[in-house]
Amino acid sequence: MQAQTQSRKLQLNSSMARWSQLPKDLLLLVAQRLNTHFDLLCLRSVCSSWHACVPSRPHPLPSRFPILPTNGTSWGLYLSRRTILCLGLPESHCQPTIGSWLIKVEEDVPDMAHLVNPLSTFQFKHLPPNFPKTFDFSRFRVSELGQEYVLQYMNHRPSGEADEGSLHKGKVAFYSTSNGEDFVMLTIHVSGKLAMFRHGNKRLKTIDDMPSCDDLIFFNGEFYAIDNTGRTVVVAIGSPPVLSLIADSVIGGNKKSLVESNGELLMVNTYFDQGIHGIMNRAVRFKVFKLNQIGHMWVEVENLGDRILFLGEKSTFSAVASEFCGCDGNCIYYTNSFFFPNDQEDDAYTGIGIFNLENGNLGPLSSFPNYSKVIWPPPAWVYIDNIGDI
Amino acid sequence: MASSKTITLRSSDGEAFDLEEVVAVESQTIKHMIEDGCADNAIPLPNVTSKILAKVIEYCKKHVETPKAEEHAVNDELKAWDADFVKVDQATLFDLILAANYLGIMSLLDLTCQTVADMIKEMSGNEICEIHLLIKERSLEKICKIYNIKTKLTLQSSDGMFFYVDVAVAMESQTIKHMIEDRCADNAIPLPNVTSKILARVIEYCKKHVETPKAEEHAVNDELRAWDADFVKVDQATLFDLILAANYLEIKSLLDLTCQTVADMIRGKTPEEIRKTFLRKHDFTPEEEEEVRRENQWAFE
Repeated sequence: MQAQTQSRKLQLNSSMARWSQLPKDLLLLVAQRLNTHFDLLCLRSVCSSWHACVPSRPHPLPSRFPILPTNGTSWGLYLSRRTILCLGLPESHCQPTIGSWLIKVEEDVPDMAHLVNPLSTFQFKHLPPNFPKTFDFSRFRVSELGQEYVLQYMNHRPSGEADEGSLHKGKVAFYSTSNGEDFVMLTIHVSGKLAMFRHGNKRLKTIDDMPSCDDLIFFNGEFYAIDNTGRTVVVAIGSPPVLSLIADSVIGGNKKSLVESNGELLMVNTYFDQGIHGIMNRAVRFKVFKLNQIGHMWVEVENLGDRILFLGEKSTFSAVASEFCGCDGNCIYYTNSFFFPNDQEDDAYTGIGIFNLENGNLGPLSSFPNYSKVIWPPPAWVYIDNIGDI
Repeated sequence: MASSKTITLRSSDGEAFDLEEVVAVESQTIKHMIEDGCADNAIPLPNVTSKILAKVIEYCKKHVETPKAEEHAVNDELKAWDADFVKVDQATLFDLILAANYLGIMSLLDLTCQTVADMIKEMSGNEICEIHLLIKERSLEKICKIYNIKTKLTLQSSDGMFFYVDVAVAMESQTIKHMIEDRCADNAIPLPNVTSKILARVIEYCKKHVETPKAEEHAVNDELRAWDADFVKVDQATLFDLILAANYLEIKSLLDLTCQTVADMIRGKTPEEIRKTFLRKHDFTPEEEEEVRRENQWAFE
């Protein structure tokens, strides 16, 4: 009997060992289907032969390139990339009371990474005292939820300061080929028009056909832009770029945002109200829409189910509520320049609110500990050196 | 003298054909209908288009008119007419087989099936592959068997088991398809890299994919996708073997499916979790281990 279990154990071991001998071209077929930096890094960290086969993708942007703005002044801009990650514990250590942590990481200068609030540009300068000096990503489950691109002035030092230097308040959407050789960048110019910069260009070029653009997104291999009436187009890159209408305007609402959720493109319509002083815009409610491509229209979505939408200042993304303990889905995290009464200046949660689609309630993030702890402070399991101790 | 009754046949596309009873009863099926008294109105033939029905009637008329004489000359003339009659494109030929079978016209069935059997002997590799797809499409395997038209071939696994498979199914593998085209598939095809356990699964996969029409309707494709999802719910050792087999046999859709499955199993896991699922432990040299540590560790400011 013992001989049998031993031989079965050997069989299991030998069959498992075969995976490290998976022929290189087949391993690459698998790697092709994992297209985020962290997934590939993880694959490389599994065993010796996989480490040799799987190429490491350069994480920083191919170059910090100067882009001269259209009005011909001589200061240059560079593109800063941040990655939004959801960190969790490996399955063996998961418990109902332990939730994942949402972070945004910026690594413009090699070996000097910064943690940024996933929704804003607020950098977490004062890390908690016992935060690990070196953070080991291989201990955690890492899912990439999105990327954020911000244009900064060239002279702006990347360490420490919040980016008051960013020229364009609007979004940047970016695409590059995997070897980084060719790229396209779309942004919303100060005039509200779309502007484009391609590999080989010297300046940003405005696209006149889309004035008062509210948001941009690179989704499913294409650039989408929406104006403040909800009219949405696909921008086909070329000289000149071609805009094709994919959805007509919607009625009502003030600011439109585009966000990807579960493989679908959604639109969020923000309704503003005059603040107390009649100056600031205060978001009072949100409606969510999904795209009916055939009918060229946005159709309202009543319930997001388990999903949570995040409308950040410079990017949008979504996540599944069950990743985070104590959170229900069907809600929206949003940023607002309106300061809630109990906001502290320069707090982790300043200017961030949360909206519940089911009952229409909204409030500052700081009032909802279950939802605020998703972002900050870092959860307890981050500090523990040896995962086995949990 | 008995008056020759007129029988009306209606094709699947609604066209009416009038013919004499004596011609109509060349078809055993129609003969039985007349005997059962079901032929007073037009007889609907939902399986036969007007194009094919016209040809069938032409055949029956000729064979009724020509006396079966002792004289070879007359019979030879009829044989020559028959030979011309079957000079049609492959699709029409197969439709004639189906119609002859449905209508119970034995001599026409003999003629058409023999024509196909003779064609296959003369065919080039490419054409053979097309013929087998047509046979599969029209579910003609049983008829072909009677006429000794080989629609199956034999595969031999590495552990010596033989698998008898429809040619159309085996052709899902580009490797086997090339062998058929190169005429190397007349005997059993040995597959030294595939065990019987895995070959059985691969054949099951190919069968399902050949039999399911690739429809525009999402419902059919969704059903196939669900079947695929179930198909890959296997242990990691079998998954590994399926990837290698799909690669060796060049079955692109199976290779895509299995690689995607592995990618989905890996995505979002830690390296340690991946090792637990797929391997024993890492085998890094100290230098490699250091490199891996560096790649994974970040210092935050």
